[in-house]
Amino acid sequence: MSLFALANKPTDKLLRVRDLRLRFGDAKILHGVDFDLAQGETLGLVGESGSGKTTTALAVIQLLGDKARLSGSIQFAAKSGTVELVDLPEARMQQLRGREIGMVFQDALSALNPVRSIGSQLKEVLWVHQQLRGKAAQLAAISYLDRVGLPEAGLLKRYPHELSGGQRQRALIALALACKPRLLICDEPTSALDVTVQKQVIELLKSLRVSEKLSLLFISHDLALTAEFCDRIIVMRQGLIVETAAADALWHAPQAPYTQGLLACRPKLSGNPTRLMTVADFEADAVAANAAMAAESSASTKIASESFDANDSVFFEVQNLSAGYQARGLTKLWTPPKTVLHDVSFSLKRGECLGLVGESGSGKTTLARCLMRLQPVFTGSVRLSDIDLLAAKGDGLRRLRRRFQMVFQDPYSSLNPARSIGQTLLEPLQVHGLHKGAEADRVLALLDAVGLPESALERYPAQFSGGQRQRIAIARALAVEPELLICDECVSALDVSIQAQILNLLKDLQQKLGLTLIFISHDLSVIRFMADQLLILGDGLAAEQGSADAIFANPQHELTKRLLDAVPRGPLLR
Amino acid sequence: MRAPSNLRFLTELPASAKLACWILLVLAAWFLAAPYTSTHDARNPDWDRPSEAPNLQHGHYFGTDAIGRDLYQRTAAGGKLSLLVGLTAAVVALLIGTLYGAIAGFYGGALGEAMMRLVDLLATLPFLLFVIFVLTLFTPSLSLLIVLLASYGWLDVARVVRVEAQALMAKTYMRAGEVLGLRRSRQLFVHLLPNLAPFALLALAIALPNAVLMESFLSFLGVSPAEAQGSLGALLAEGMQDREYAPWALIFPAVLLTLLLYALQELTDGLREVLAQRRS
Repeated sequence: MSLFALANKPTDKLLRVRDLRLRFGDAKILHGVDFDLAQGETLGLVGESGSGKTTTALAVIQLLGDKARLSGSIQFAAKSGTVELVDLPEARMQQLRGREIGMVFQDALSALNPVRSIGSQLKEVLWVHQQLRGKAAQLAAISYLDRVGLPEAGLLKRYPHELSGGQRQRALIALALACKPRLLICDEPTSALDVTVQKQVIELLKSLRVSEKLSLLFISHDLALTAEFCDRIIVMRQGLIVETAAADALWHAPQAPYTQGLLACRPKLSGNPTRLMTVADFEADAVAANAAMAAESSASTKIASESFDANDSVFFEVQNLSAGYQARGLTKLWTPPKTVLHDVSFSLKRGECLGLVGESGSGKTTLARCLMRLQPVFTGSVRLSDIDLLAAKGDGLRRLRRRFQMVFQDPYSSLNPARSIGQTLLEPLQVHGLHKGAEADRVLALLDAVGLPESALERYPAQFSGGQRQRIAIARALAVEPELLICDECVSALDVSIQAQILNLLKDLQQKLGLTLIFISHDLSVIRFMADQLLILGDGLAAEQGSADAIFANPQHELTKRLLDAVPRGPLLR
Repeated sequence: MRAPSNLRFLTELPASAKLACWILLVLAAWFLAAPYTSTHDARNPDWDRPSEAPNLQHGHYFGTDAIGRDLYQRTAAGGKLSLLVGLTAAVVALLIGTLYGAIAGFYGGALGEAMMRLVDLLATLPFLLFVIFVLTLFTPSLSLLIVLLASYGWLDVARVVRVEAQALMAKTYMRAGEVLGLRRSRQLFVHLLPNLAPFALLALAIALPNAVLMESFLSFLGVSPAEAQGSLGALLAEGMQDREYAPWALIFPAVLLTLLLYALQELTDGLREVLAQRRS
């Protein structure tokens, strides 16, 4: 980073934003945002959901839609001279979009046209922006793909769905580069990718900003990643800038309490605290923070009904589990089954947490689905205390399900939109006949435990944010007092501050009730905080397994090392 | 812990659907009030004045038909009959089709496929021949007509609903229900069917105007049991014969049928839109 700063010394301002305010109808989204972006600079825009970071970027590229009321000033130093972007006529803006200001979106699959090949999309851009056709366009397209690290020429003929997530993101970057923009806005370009792939894309952006002389506006929720990659960082919250500082300074000595909280509530790879700090710890005074802590711990006690005695016997055991997909119907006769999971074994004591790690497609979710009896198993056995889970059928299985529960990855589709939160939380109690006569109290205790107000009962899922919905889904899983809880990326969609609350709650339940956890995550720092045991999956095989402390201290397998190496750690202390 | 039931969603309807609401209200009021607003009735002919042009003095606001029956009263009665028959048939078709499509989508696999192939098979039967065949076998009656219209309409409903049910089955909340140990019947009736409501309304948007139109069509051809009772289709058929010298006998029923179909279409479209928005 320092090398880069020397090579292209930031001279004049490329972007100058002053008092930017935005309303959608009555809702005020931005309340006066000021920042500058120097030529050749990489500026990070960090914040939690609803902070206005993406909206700010969309304002710069003027893609907010008809209902947005924007005021203030955005001055952009275009090739032809400085332009005021606020209230710029759409026809003029179209000339700037792409060739002066490019954008890379988070979801590459929906940003690319699914019915056209990568080559034809790239050549269209080359024709519109560089007037290249035929052979020249073909050569230019290959060279742009080469520049983003996609050397294979056959890629031009492929369609977006035929590429991997990382390849799609690279193709999207190639599309943006082909317009030769001066400013590239990247909106969470790596959030949907595996850490190892994320690392590759970040390395690519690092080299491109030098070779293509790009200025970057990099939007992310990940402070460590941003601090590692950017020159300067702006921290936003609720439409306001909380802090602006050089990346190193922000990472090592944050000034604003909110930034301090954001940094502290991330679980870290080094050290293993028993409780994560939350943003509230930093913003409120000590008394309030203590009260919050007390509330947190009493909440988990309230939803506990039995005490647990720890003993050393194996509580949950999986032996030689193989599973995968089998063709349905008549095709079954000539299509061999596809094995996704090969011979996985592990065992857990009561109150232990297994961290399940692996890249996408490694079989993590298949394993979870098998353990939950949502998918048939080819061979192997699964035992919960003394019960054979794979043998249970029909009504017996339905009753047994009370004892093992799951929280799903996607909070948006895991709640029935037609049922109120009250109905959703009441249902498991009624179905299993739990807390007869006191169901309402139980539902309130559950809501309290996940930090939602009583008024949530009458409302519907659509009225809640992703984080709130995930908390409701966790409350629903905890309603039946399960002994085993499988969390499939259950905090991945959440902001770090809410993530910290949820992780504290789960850890608390684990310690007080002896809740046995299987925690699936791509985020190794989260796994570090939660897991006692570790199982690292690669292509459906257990690459490495054992005690979490030992593996984190001394990883043996190549895959483990690669995964650990790819975790963003922020700038090193100098 | 139920959502308070209210009619507030009516204010969220698009303008065209609000207009449709008003049209339907005015028409319904007219159907009910017509017998009291003129001195004539729909059945007894005014023997002195056959095929008379609209005439306020004689109280024949829409004129009379070839044997002197008052067209104002006949149009109102015909509209009411057509709307009631169409509405009943569409609702029956909706209930059968939604349940059938939901079950086919819920169970999927070979059962779902077999159920839908049966729908395909039934849809290939020539409807008109089927109607004539049934009407010659059984005593024609209004209920038989409703059964016939519904037996035709539910096929489309089942198809639309089945596709949507398949999509909803992939939602995580269906997995979550399974994990919680819910019975399949509860999954089907509590979690799947309520979420199919917007799509059932979409199906109704097709089935309702279709049923009204189909009833008029059958009456127009003279094969409907409602024809003798003077439904809109029957009036249109008579109007067609006399159109050279008594065009009013064709125009008034035709305008009413158009208004009815337009309003029904817009209203169901608007309802579906509002429901889909609320759920997203």
